[in-house]
Amino acid sequence: MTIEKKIDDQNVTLVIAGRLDTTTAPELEKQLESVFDNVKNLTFDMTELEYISSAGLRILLKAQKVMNTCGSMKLVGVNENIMEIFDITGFLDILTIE
Amino acid sequence: RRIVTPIRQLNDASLNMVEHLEDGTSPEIIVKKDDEIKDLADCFTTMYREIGEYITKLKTVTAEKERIGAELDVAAKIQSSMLPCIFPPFPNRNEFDIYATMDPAKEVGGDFYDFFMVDEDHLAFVVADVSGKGVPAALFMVIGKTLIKDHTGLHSDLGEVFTEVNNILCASNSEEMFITAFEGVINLKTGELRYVNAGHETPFICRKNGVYEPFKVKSGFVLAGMNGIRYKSGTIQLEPGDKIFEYSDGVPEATNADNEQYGMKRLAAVLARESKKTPAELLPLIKSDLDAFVNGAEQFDDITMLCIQFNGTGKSTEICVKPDRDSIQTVTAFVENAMDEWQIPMKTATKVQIAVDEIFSNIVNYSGANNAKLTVTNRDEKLSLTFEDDGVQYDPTSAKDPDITLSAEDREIGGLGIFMVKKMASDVRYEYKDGKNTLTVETVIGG
Repeated sequence: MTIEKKIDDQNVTLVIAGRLDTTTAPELEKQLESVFDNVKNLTFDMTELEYISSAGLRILLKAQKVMNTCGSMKLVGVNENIMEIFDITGFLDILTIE
Repeated sequence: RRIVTPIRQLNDASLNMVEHLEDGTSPEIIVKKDDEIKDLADCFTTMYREIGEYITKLKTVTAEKERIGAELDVAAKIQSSMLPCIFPPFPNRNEFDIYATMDPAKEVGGDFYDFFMVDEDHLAFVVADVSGKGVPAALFMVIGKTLIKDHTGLHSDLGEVFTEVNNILCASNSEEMFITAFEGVINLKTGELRYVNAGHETPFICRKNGVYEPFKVKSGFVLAGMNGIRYKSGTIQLEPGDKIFEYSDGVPEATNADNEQYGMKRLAAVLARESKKTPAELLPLIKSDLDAFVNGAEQFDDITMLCIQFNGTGKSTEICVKPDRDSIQTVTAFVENAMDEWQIPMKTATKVQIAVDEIFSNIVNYSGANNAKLTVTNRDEKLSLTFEDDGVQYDPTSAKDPDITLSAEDREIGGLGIFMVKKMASDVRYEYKDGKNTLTVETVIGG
């Protein structure tokens, strides 16, 4: 997995490529910790993300909870496979997907 | 007064008869003069005594009947527990699917089925029917079942197995009973089915994507019928996806209230109609078709059915690791290689990768296991993952599903992983045996 961080003032976009699973989720969590302090609009660009397991969902849920208190969060470029996982797990209801 | 007093006493005695009989006392009837009244009183006393004796006898007989009834119930339970009845019986064997049922007509019956692994690569199955019903048939069934199981595996030729079983049965068969039996042994590596038939019903075979058709096998004489008979075995090649169905005569001979039999035509029709079904789906469908026909009429014979689907070994690869943090990546890469090599479509490969990540990370984090093994099998358009670990006993399929309707604030992440796996897989099975957890996750390729 690779994470590319694009920061424009308080708008932060994280471009995640590869797999978001047990092995890679801690890295994303670390990256998020470093931007939480100064972000209003958080975007995850998932165009190049292959799949996500529950370890990745945990990070998204945590981020969503933080952003619910201090800004907004959205996901872009979600592919069909990942969309299915969001659907199965009921994450469609709590995430904003464009 | 001499007349009135005894009559009054007789009157009281009649009224209190039940009371007297219960506490075993006799009524007091005093007649002084030897006349008709005394005769009546004597007759009355005799009647009293005889009724008392009769009731005592009746009580004994009833108690005895109750005791026998209770013992028959226990016998029926023991008998049914002799038939393997946990399905799937070998959750980590993917080379075949098996399902079998036996509905006895009386408390204890004469039908039986059996199946067991002869060795790592051979599955044996038996369907049989003992002549007669009730206790004698049940006793003979136990002997027959035990003998067949014990002798299978001693000889590579099933004909010899039946020849020997027949001779032993004949040697101790004072009641002239007999058994019709069909036994098959499938080589799970090659698909070769060897069989022997002793007067039993013709099985049906359904080729992959075909329909069930009678498999006309040459039949030998019934078991226990005559000493010294030589049984001959036959063979047929099964291909992955083929199914075999065997049953007892209780199926075609089930009768409705008009004394009409279910018959082979109806059985063949329902089999042909449901040819695509798995063994576990097929048998209940046949039973409900049969029940609809019989329409509540009394069942006179045991109804036994058994169905096996041969899946073949397919392609398979496995990896053993010590489950630590680093091993997750090793296993993930291993599975990715297999998916590439077998050209598994992206969608299925993704599901498989997620399942591996969820299950294997659970093993690493929570099982405390020292050894873990993952077997990936590609067979009959299905991918199956079998995880084995020697950690603490834990059945992830029993975990409560998380509430996926809560708001983000109230959401818990625990249990989500196995929930995803359950939702995405076509089947998830768990078994704990010999100190090992075995979890099998199956996904339809392209599904």
